[in-house]
Amino acid sequence: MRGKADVAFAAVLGLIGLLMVYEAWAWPFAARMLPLALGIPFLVLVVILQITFWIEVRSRGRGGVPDAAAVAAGSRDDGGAARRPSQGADVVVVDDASPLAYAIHGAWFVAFTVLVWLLGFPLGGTLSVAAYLVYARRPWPVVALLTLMTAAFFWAAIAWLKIGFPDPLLW
Amino acid sequence: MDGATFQALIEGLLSTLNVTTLLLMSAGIVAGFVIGILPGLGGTAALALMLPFTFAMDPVSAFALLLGMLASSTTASDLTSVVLGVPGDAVSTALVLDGYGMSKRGQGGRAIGAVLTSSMLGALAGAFVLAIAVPVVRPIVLAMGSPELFAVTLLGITTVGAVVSGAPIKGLILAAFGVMLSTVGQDPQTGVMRYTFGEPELWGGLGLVPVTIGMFALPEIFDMAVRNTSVAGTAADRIDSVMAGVRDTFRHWWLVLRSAVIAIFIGLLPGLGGSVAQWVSYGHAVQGAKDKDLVGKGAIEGVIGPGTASNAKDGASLIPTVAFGVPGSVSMAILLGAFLIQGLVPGPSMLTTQLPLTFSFVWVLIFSNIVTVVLCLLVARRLRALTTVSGRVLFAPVMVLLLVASFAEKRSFLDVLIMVGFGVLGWFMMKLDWPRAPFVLGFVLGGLAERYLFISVDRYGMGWVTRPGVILLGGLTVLGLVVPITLRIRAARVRGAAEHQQPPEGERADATDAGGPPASGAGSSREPRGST
Repeated sequence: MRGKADVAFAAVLGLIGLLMVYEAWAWPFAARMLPLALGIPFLVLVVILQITFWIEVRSRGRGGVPDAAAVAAGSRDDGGAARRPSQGADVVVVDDASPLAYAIHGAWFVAFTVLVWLLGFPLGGTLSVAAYLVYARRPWPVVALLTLMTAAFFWAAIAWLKIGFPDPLLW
Repeated sequence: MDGATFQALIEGLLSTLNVTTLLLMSAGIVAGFVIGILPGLGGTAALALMLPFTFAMDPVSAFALLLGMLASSTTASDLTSVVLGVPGDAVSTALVLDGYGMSKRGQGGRAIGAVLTSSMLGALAGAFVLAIAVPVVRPIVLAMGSPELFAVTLLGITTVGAVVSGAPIKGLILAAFGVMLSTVGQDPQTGVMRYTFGEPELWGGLGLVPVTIGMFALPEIFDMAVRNTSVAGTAADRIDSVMAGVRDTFRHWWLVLRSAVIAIFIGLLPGLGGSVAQWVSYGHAVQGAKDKDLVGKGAIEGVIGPGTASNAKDGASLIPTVAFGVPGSVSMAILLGAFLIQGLVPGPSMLTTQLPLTFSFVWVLIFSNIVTVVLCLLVARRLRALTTVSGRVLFAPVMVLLLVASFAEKRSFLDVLIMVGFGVLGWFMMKLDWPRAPFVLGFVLGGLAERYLFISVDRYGMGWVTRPGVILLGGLTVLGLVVPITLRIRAARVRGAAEHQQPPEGERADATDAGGPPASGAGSSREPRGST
């Protein structure tokens, strides 16, 4: 599964790079020099990476030792040693969060951004903090303290640091 | 040191020890710390904000305020990178990798101790070099033309791309991708709009702060909240002491020295800036890391190297600013503005008639860095405690900080959306184990690389590649690419062959249960223990 995701991710990057190189081709020499000087090796490397993924799949099927190309690509590094807890690093983070948890927090982040856009940074930001902490069932003193700190931060940012936040969309 | 120079050194010290100067320096330190700890508002923003207040001051007081602020904001930025994984300034992004990695492994105290001590030692080294180096380094700096500077940027990009990630091809792909994205905006040479999609707010290019915090901070805090864990995660119950990091730094004195030399050299070169110094020092430091598996995840060398560089470069970048009127970084360009406000002319006069003032800069850098580090060590216990706070408590306030930080650089809401976009990209990269550091380094250095490449080609044609400096740096770049890849392939073959010779799975079960490492990759940690 992870290998397929790697392949897809590399393909998306390659596609973006291809479009960038294609667009750069029409520019004057000075403007296209760096995009092409880096873009073409970039595309070559993406192709090499895809080939190494393919080699890795083959060698995995044979149960052989890691191929040099796969090690260089990092797709199969050193027999999994990089992901093994080494001495003094015996913390293995296993991603056990549910997709629902990701979706909920993604929605919260979108809500933060929209609230800030609609109500402005000081009000939208402060309300976002309070609303999320209530949702996360934090104790009331923590909710109050962090909400007040956020409000104070915005006050300081406006009064002292003279950050000119944009007007809220709603008024 | 002749008698006149020594006298100027003492005069500089006495003018710094003036009560007004010390008070202003302290005010600068406090203000710099507060501003530096806010993500996105680093030393540059702090200097720009305080510049107008220096109109009515004498030169020594004005520079005490500004340099004190610069020193403490740099250190504060480093701390947020380590504790929260949110760089206070784009300059401190290199520290996120291993500094924050250490915090996640419950070694936040050690990382704080290491970064504070190394930054103080780096600052002292930078100040020392500032005091003695002007006559020595002048010919070297002047000998570095655009071709050599391009070669230096290429060296930095490839070294980090190939070494840091542990996945050289992925690292190089992402470094090149970062460079390509740095070309978004109006081309300074031809005026052509590149990849702007007709959006005027993209004419100035993608902002460094939204890209950096989107790439590093957003995925981390998001993941922490989703998994309802703290920065230190399951390692929170064995958080270590700050003094361990202090001891680590002194134990790695040779690395501190080398990182300081690298940062000082880069600081001397006009235009390369602090983030380059940190990244190149990082790349050098992790090359020599004892435990390569920890690189990017919490290697102490990856904290000490960039920690030293962050403040060492300040003293060094003052040299071209003071001696030649050529600012070495954006911060130094703002300081150059302070020179003009004070009626000072950078150049030979700063090394003759104004030498005591120049030496007062040295003393201010020394004092302010020592004071900052002592203050930070006093509050380090509280900072360390932040790494144990639940992600669901930190999520909302940090998210608001990220929104403000991404907006503040250019006052553009589009930057907030850019931060979100790069956050999504960074999250995928984090989940798929694609290294994020090479991308950001490529993005940081892309603009410089393009400028130097253009000048080189424009001035020398293709002859620039035959310059001795370029050949030397090019050779180092090739070595930096080939050596780590070869070493990794060799190590993997040896390990793979050894695993091949081990007995079948069933016979190995006891060893694995007894604490031995699993035989294959990440999947092994999820296997039900009952099956053995």
